[in-house]
Amino acid sequence: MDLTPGGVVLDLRGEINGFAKEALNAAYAEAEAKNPETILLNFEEISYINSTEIALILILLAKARLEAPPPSLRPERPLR
Amino acid sequence: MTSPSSGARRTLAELSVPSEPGNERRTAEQVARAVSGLGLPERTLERLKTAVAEATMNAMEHGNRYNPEVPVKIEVWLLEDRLLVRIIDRGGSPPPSPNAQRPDLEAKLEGMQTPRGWALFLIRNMVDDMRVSGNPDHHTVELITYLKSADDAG
Repeated sequence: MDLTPGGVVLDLRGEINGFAKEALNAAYAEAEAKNPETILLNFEEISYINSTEIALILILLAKARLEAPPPSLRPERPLR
Repeated sequence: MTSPSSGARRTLAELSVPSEPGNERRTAEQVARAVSGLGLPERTLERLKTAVAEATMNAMEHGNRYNPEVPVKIEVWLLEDRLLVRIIDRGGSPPPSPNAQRPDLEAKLEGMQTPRGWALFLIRNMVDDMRVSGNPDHHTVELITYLKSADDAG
């Protein structure tokens, strides 16, 4: 996790697979606790993600949207 | 893996994969090895691997309900102008619909669509054609890549 003037960057690395859910949620909760204006998800170092885990990311994005005031949460780079 | 051949069709591989999480990636790599002699552009090969992995995962989850005793069968055929990959499961649930609702990102974020439902969309967009067939005993997903269109331009 990197704190930047614009918010928090979550650097995701390796594979996003069925074991990633808890780690991802924990990292997001930690970022959210800092009340940043923006949380960026950086997928640059992701080597593999499948359709099931794309859904996992979407659940996180939907959760962020529901929270008020919602942090602006968007992928830093397009999913590959 | 076996490599029989017959007439104008040539079977490049026949696989039988236990329905266990993670095996979709191994399957994609095995299919990639089976077609390695065809000289497919890297981009085409990566797209094929994604389609194979997603179709295999669907078959393991929805067709075989992740029962490791029930394998997914994969056949890789080289036809005259195309590569055909068939993924066959035991049909534990209705076959995947080729006309399934297109994923709508905004609707998913608003909770109006399930966050899942990306597999067929990905598969359809990774290969030149996708066909789905089935009966009470099995489902078959066919992935077709035309060899002449397999370039890096698109």
